[in-house]
Amino acid sequence: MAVALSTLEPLVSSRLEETSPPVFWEAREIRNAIVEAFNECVLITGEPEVRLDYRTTIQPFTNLQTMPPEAVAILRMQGENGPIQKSSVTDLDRIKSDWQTETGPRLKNWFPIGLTQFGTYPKLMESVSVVLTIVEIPIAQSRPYTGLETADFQQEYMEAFVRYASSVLRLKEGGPEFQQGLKDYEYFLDKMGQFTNFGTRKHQFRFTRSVGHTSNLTDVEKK
Amino acid sequence: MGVLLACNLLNDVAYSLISPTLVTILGTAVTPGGRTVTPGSMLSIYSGAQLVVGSGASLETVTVSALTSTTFTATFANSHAATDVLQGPTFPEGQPDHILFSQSEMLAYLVDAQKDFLLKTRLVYSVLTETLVPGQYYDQPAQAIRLERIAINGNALLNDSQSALDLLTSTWNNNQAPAIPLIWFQDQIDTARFGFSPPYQAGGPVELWFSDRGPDSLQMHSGLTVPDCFAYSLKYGVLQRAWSKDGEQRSPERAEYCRKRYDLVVMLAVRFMFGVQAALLKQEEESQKFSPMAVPA
Repeated sequence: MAVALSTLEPLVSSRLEETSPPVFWEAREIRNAIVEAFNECVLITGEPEVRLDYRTTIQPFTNLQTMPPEAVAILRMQGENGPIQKSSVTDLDRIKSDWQTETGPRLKNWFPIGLTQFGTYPKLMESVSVVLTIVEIPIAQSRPYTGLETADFQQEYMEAFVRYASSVLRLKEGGPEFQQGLKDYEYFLDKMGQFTNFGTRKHQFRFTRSVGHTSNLTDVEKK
Repeated sequence: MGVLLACNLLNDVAYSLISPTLVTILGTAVTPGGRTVTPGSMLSIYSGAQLVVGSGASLETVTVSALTSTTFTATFANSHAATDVLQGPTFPEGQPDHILFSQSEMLAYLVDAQKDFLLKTRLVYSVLTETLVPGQYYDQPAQAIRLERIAINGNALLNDSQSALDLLTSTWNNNQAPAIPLIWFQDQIDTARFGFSPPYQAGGPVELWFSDRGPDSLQMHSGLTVPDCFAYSLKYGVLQRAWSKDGEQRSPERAEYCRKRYDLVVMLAVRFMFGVQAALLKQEEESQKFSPMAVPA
């Protein structure tokens, strides 16, 4: 369910007991903090995963492709004939050291190159369109945010984002107010933990409260 | 590179430092050259302040050379409409002779934070084709943290070590055939250098894949190497440095908090890379060694 920054902004202001018009916290400042909350949620939970209607064009005559600007990471690629198998540069090098010289009419593999590029094999002779499943950046627009930008999260987590934003914004107060803000951040982390409890069919970067540990793979994930 | 700019991150830093930030319009249409403009606001503008103006292809940083109560003068490299956005965290406190923080200082903190983040996570790789002269030992690219892969004419070279080559054949260093190297190594030679076996006799183009450490300097309008979703960690990196510095703004408690927040995002980024297996090397070679928290055995 899409939620606009302008929906959460007054809730954050209310939590901070900020007046209208704002005095101590600017509207832009509050929106930036809300977007930060969304981003941390993405890193913890790996959500939202977006698949439908997301197409990108694979450029011909090269193995290297640019990551779509809306994507944090690519999870899956589908061509006209079905899913394209994920591989890695290391595997391709081990199978065939001169794989970069090959050309072909159809993609066989794709592989990530960090989080800003990905590669395809073999090189194509013409561009093709593929469907990507990605972890989507919640707000991909440039700043300053207008408040009309929306992110796709379920309603039950909105309070967590509000509490996170208020926690971040209290940082500049220092003192007891800053200490109070830590409790709000703790609330956010709890909610993110609950968010990942529903991820039994999701991927292995689900978060646990044991910071530093990856979560265990489920049977669904192992397959 | 995402959409966030250095000035966007430093705006967030300025908010936390209770430093005024400027977001207004240029107020006067300009063509390239030294121009005097009447912006929508003169808030936090001082002589020497760096301001970001424009967007897209016209985006640039200008330095205020003179000002009055309503105008300032700067040299513009691009044309701008009067409605172009003018922005900048200028950190005006204490200007000109009792400065708390300067813009160049904050940019330096941001560069340090970005380099540190990329060093710990290595989530950005670059591929560079360089033409090498005939020889055996070369410098790795200046922006490389570590070379990950080398290919010549589309053929990947095997990564090994001089120690292993010594075990294979003691005369490997004298071999001149074949003409195209088969193996590359980085051990037992100077820092940030690599070598070939056999030597690259003819020289030529080489494709170098490496983890990128980002630029050595940033301007206010520079984009960030760290992807946008992770970039908020840099705010905490800058604040940690700012609040741990001696002076009136020193705040050890908040500096420590920012350090931990930064470390958490680093940990999340490493986990993310592991989860999507985006590192260039196989995951069993790149196990998660980093954790800011004590991990029980």
